[in-house]
Amino acid sequence: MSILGDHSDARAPRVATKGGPGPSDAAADWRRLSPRMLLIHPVREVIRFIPALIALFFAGHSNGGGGHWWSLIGLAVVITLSVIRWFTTRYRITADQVQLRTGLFRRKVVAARADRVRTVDVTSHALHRALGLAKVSIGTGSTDRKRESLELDGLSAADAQRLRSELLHRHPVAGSTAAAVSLDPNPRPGSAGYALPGAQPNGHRLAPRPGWAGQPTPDAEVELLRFNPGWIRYAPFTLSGALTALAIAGFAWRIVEQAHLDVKRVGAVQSASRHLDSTPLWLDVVQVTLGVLVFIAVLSMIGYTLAFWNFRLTRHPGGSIHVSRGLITTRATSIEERRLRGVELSEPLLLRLVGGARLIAVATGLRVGRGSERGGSLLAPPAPRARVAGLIRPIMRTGRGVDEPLLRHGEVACRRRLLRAVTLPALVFAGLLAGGLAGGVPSWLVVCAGLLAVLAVPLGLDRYRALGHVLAGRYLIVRSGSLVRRRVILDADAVIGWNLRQTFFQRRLGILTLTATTAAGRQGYAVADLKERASLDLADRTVPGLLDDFLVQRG
Amino acid sequence: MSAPSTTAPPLDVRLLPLAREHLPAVQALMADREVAQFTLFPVDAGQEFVEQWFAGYERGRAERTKQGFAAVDGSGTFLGLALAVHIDEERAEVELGYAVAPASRGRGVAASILEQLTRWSFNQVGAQRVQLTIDAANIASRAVASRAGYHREGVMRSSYFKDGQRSDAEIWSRLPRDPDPADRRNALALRQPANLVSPRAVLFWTVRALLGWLIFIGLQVVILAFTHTAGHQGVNITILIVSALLAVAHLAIMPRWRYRVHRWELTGTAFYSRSGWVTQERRIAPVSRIQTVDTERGPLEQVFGLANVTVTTASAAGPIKLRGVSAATADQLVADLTSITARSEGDAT
Repeated sequence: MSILGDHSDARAPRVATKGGPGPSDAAADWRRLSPRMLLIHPVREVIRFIPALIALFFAGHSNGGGGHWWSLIGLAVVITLSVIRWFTTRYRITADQVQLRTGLFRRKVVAARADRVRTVDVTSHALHRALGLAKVSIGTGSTDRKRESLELDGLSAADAQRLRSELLHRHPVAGSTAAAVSLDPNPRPGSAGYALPGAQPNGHRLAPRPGWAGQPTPDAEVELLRFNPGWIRYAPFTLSGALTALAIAGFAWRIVEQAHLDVKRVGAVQSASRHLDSTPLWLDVVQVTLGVLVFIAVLSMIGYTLAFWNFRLTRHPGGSIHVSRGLITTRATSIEERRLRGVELSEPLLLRLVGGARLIAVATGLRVGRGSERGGSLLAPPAPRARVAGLIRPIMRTGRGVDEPLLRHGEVACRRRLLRAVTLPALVFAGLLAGGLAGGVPSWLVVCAGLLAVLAVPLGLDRYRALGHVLAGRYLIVRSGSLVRRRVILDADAVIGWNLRQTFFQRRLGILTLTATTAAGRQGYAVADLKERASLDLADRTVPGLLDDFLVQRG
Repeated sequence: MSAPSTTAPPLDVRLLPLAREHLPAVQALMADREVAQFTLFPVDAGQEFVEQWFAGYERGRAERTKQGFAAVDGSGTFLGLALAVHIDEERAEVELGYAVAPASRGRGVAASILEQLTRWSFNQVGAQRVQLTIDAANIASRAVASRAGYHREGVMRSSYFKDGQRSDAEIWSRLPRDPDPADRRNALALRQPANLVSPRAVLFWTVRALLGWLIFIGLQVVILAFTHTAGHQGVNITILIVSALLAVAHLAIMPRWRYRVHRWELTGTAFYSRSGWVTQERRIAPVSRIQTVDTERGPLEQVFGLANVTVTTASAAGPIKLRGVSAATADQLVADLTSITARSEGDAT
């Protein structure tokens, strides 16, 4: 079964899907999602309605028996509803659109223009995998707002793969959306059209690339990175484990509280506290700390394995980058290479100490999200830095940027980093100290604040050491941060404006914070505390001509 | 074709008249993808083409209409081509071109070639105008031109390139009287945008801030009226006096300071604004990247005949917000932006 129209061979020339309404349009019928979803929907709905069903069961009981009948009826209603949902959901793929129609009483049609598709996400949860299904999320537009992504929940895995490659590697439709910049009264984040035919990312215009100019693309993928189980050793040095542990602790606490359990009566707790009672206090602290650390480490390793098992980063000759991963829930993300405007090498402090790093895509229409998967923009999980940095060359098609020496921001920037890091903890310490001398504040709090104030010094220095930037060929490279050190390599052509920000003190020092705005990734990348002249020089060289009208000779 | 970086020391670049011995290296250079992409050399330049091309430059040297140089380093290694592709002695105009071998990129070779060629054009040819034609997508070459003191004059949209291809080509030029780029770099400053916002904005900001302060101080008065404990009243009165003083200072300073800072300017290529008072921000966005222009007038703004204009680009970090312009100016600005952006094409991301 073909996904796109009536040509059954997915490798057929893409001319059939090109241009305006054609015969293939009429042939593109509404079709249903995979019938196997009929098995998934009821299970999922039942799980979702379990609390309601239990309530029904008890309500039936209190009304004088027959509770199981009530819950059976409830169950039947839920299952019927879920089956109806399958029957009322249809999708269709025309020459230039993917449409999804849902709802029985409230009909809703969501459409995504095929030529504006920027990312395609294929996710399979455990149930899906058992039945050979996958959910396809199609992302358009420059933001990742919910309403802009179109989800086809439940295609067969093979169909999902085919749809993905069809959507990502179709030939650009001439003149379709290259419409001039619109001055639309309603902001349309997705209005940025398809590039002109022949236009390619990174300003590589007019250079024919194999597989782009209309001929069928060979399906051979180039593997850039494959999961190595040894990388799990980096998991304890990410924050995800600690966060999970916190969540579990919070959950356990709530259960204990709500069920009015007396913790002291649980056997394990009793024996543990008896054991702790028999040892000196310092040993208790060490034991508990170790226990918590081991717990966090194990959790983060489990989380890492679940999320990144089978991680694979590949490049498709048709012009897209694929990331697939996951042990139980598998997820595959595809990013069009023309949308990939840069990469971010991110080194959180702990990970940096053990020589690890991760890589995040800076892509248009794909905002950097939160959580260990970074909203789908992750290109490499925490792994050896050399291995991760080595990816930059094949991904960006340039040798620049990996270990390019950076220009420092100077002594003023250093003083400012230190001052900004130390001021607040120092003030807090002074306040607490005064309180402590007056006798109102416990001494351990004062000591802690003092320690924090002292620790702020190396933090500020490290923040300064991280500061750096350079314009290397076509790429603007910016590095900053200590707790999370980020090195961003951004295509200069993706810079679409400058913000020059100066606080009162920065003006007095003659420095400013220059932010390169872009439609990709974090939307703006800041070069902090650079001398005004150096900032202007950098901005002028990165986007030649933009500042020309406003630059003057000093004095 | 790239900006200099700190990886390798800048090379000692010398220009020698192009000779037959350079031809193998020239042919290899022409085979490079980026060279083929941005220059008029054919994609698959064979030996025959190179010979013909060289003959053209030999003829040009004799007729004084063309001059080719090979850029070499101290040891004689070929680094790239430095070309005066067209010399018009009568009109005293020269068009230049350059290409750097892949192995030598990123070390300031192009910048050095252009600087030497420009000097040669002014001093040896007596040019009154030196011109470059650069593909609009060739960002590295544009950076080289900008740094060599060239001015971007405009874009020839969809001009014929080669092999039936068309592309946007930029014209850059430099005149003898243009400031030397070295001096220009050292004394670079960003001037302030040309236009102030409406003078009525001062009163508007004052009234708006006054309303805020009145609510804050009014609440304190109410609390004071209902507090009867003697000790508390002393504290409350102190706070009240301090806030009144702060309000007076804020109202006296803030609106005037803001008025002096808030400025904007629209040119054919960019929109430039400055805003804030204690913390100030200047934002610059190319007109070609502007996506939407919104005007908005709140109730108080309508009383003062003012409007807010928000110009957005594809970046969520880059909207330019103009506060306190007169309604007429706002309408004119929107009309101007509409007509300018309608002329520029592209993806805007």
